[in-house]
Amino acid sequence: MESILILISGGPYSGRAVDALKLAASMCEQGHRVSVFLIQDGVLCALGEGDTEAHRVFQGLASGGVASFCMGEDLTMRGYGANELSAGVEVSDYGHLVGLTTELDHRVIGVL
Amino acid sequence: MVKSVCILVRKPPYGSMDAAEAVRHINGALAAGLRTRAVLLGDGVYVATRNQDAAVAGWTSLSAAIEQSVTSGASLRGGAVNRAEVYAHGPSLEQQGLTGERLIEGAQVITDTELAEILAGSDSVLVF
Repeated sequence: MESILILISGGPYSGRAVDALKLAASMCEQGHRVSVFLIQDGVLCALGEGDTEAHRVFQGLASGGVASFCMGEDLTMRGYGANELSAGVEVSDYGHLVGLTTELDHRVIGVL
Repeated sequence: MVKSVCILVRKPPYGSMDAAEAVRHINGALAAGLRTRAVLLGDGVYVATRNQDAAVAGWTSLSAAIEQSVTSGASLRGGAVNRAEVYAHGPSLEQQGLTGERLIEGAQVITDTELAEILAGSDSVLVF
């Protein structure tokens, strides 16, 4: 079992975001400990009212116990707040992201 | 001679330069006296959602810029003012969990049929 951090920057309609989220889901099914961190346009995938494939896959991950984070600054830029996100998502910052990427037992895949 | 242009925006703001370039082209088309229609499709609808605070990252707010193209427009010779028409694709909004109330002042929500009419009725379509 690996500990894997996946960084995602694509918006909900981008194929990149859907592919990355499905990758995260597959890794979870294989028993790995997966964390997902949304940055830049990727934070839009965390909006709770969204109903694109990207939104649905992300909602499944976050509500299913996968550690899920989104960059607070990128949310603010785009006009959204923590109260508009899917259940299970934590708003985070660059300091936390750096900490996650430098944890010795973490493999980092990104930015997808 | 091109008299009308449709600026079709498919990318969300800030993650890439595409949306900012689209807004720049809207302003350029207005200044050139063209009938300028901006259509926001897919992730592009996020360009016109309210409450953006891009200053935190040192960016110019694209929602404010596109709103200005609608409310203030560009001044032309002779004193006329050329204002943009901004349309957000309704099904794209709905899929993103958004409604027209989340959009900037002056933005209109359009159907698939209206989208096709705008694209077919424009002399030129620039896709971002």
